[in-house]
Amino acid sequence: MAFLELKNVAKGFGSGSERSEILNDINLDIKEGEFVAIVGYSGSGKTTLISLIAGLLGPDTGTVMLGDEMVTEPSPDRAIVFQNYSLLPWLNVYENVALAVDQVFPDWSKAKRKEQVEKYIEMVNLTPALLKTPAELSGGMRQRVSVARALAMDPKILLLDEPLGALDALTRAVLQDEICNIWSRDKKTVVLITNDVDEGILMADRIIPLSAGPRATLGKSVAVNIDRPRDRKEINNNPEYRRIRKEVIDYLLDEGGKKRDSLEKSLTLPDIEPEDLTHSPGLFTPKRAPKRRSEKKKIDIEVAA
Amino acid sequence: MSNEAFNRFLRFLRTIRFGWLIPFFLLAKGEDPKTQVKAILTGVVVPLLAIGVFLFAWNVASKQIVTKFGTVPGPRQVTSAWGSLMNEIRLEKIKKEDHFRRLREKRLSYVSKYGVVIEDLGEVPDLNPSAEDQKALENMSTAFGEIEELLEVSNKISVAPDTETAEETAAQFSYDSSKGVAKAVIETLLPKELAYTSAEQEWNLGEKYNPAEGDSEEEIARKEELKSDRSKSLAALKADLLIERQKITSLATDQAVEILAAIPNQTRRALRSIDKKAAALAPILDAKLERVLADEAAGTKYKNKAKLKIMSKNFGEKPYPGKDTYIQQIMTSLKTVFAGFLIASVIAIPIGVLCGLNKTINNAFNPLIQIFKPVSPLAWLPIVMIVVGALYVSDDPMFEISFINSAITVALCSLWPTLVNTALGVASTDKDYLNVARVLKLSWSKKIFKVVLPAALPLVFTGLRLSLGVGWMVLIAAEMLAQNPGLGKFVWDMFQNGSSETLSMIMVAVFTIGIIGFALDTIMLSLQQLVSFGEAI
Repeated sequence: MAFLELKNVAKGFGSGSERSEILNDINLDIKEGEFVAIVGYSGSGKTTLISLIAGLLGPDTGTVMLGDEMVTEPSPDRAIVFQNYSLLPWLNVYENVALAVDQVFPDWSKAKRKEQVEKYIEMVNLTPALLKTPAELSGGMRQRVSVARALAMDPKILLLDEPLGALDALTRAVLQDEICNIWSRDKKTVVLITNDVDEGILMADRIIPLSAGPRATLGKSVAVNIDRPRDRKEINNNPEYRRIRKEVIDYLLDEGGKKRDSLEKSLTLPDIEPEDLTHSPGLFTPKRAPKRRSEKKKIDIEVAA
Repeated sequence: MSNEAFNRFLRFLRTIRFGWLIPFFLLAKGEDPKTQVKAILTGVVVPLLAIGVFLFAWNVASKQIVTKFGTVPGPRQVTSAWGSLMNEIRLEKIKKEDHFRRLREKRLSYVSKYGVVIEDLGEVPDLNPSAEDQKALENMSTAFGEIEELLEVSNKISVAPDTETAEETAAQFSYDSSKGVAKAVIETLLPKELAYTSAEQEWNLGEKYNPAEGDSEEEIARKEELKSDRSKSLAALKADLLIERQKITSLATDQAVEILAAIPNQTRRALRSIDKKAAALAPILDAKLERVLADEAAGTKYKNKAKLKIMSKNFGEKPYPGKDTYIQQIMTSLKTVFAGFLIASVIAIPIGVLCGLNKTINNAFNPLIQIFKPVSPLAWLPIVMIVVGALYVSDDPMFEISFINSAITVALCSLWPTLVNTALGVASTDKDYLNVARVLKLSWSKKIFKVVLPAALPLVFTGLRLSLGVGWMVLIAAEMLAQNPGLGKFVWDMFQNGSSETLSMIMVAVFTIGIIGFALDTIMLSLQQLVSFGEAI
């Protein structure tokens, strides 16, 4: 039975002519303890998808189920690590994590909560920076605090929204390993959103491509059957790795990459309006001048390609 | 000092707007001297030059304009006016001491005169001065005798018609200090007084300047020009004279302060103990008087009632009724502006938070804010005065009504920047922070106090800083009209009394207002940077 299940989910924003459909016909099953990566173009709606799972957004159609419960609002059960860290800059590292722990475990004793905070800060190797504020930390360190905060809530599922997107390649590699290590210890269910296919293959059990938007949808899921721990140096020579990589990239470039965009073209009609001759000109009516369309409005006509 | 501490110190300097000092420290540390010298040139020398140019231009321009109060004061006159204000503070101290000395002597004279009354009181502190007390009293009285003479010197001598008369008068003074001041007056002030008097007399003769019958056009024009030159030079003489007078007054006050400082501690101790005993006697006298009045109502008469009444009156508390000094006026202004600022903040921050959180509330408040924001304090004040006058009725008011009027006017004008900025700060809280709050399911109050308010704090403080600036600016106008005894009233009083020092005093006030406003702004800026989580503003 699926632990997290999305059924026929669609989501769009705006209304009327402004409306844009972001996601369409999303179906996703994730088992408990599974590490799933969703890979897609930037702007294809990955963040919208994870916001739907987190409950920050509600779907227009379809349902999001976690276990037996329908997701209708955000909850600490679905901890989320945002791309831009979202640490509160007026709190130090300890306080940022403690804010979450105190909120999620109000019944615990003070000492136990303190222990929990320190345990997770230790897990991301930030104990020396315990009393520093986010402004004093590097990007990688900030993201570690964000991960520690999410894990310290002891969520049912961990949602990672391009957590490493803003980091340089070296820091990125280090953090990838760290996240994998932490995951291998308590086997939480994880949904990782990324635009880096290699990152997905390196970290996840299963990788699912998301087609380009608008009306993005999920492609065929590809299982990653490579033994852990995966060595980033060796993995390049692994034929399985190459096969998965090719499969995912092929999808993204071929059917998934086809833009379902509509072409927008301005067609300019003759610039003069027909004259209204039903009324004869009176003494006080102003002199007739040709009415120009361009003075009134510009008409854009959308043409599907 | 470690490097990190040094850097923190430099950052602190920059925060409190003393960043121009940084190149000096770096230079002392030997860091890249060429860059530092350049920084000093642009950051210190240039502003100093600009100030110099300003003072020079002011000095030149001021001499060209003659008003009914004399020339427009230049930097020298304004400095002298500042000196005379500071002098007044010292004089007030001396006068206060004199007041209590006289009171003490008066009380003691009643004690010896009306011994009968004291005898009737039973067990009371013995107020009859011992030999030592007597000596202390005499010391004090000699000191004030000297001071009195000293402070009169300038007045007595500077009216002398010539130097000989002045020297004769000077010879009559009995104290060396007075003679010293007299000598200074004769040497520096008197020649100027005489020069001014004679110039004024010549001016008053007028024949040279007033057009006579039958003068040609050219002659009249020449006389007009002569007249204008003459009035300018007369005004310049007068300005010079005022500065000299102030110097002499200051000299005399210096000496007076020295005389007071020379009074030995033993004397002061003895006088204090006398005052203490007198203060202890006061309630006993009051109680006795009350008893006597009660007895009288019952039919028993007390034969020394009149004497008792006089004593009770004289032993009661008699504070010094001196006028407010300049410093006290500044303090009043500061108190008023902070009171107004506090009222404004208490109202503006909560409303601002509500407006920022909720678009509907914002829409409701917005037209009111936009309409009231540009209203001048001069329009608010009459309304405030009438309303406060109607509502704040008390026999023993905790605050002066003029204080309340000015404070509320300041509040009404300084409300808006805080309100608008708080609303903006709350409304522009980073969406990610709010998402964190949603994921954590923070309660409403926790969301406000742990996420929204801290995030909005930098903008709230920007608003507060603007508000304090507006408040300080508005305060002067409000005080002028409400007659709150602060800087505004000082300016108004100076304007009204129209002496030859009027303009320079007002200019002193202008500089005081400017410098205090600058200091307040710097304090608020520092606070603002403290709450902005290490991000530069």
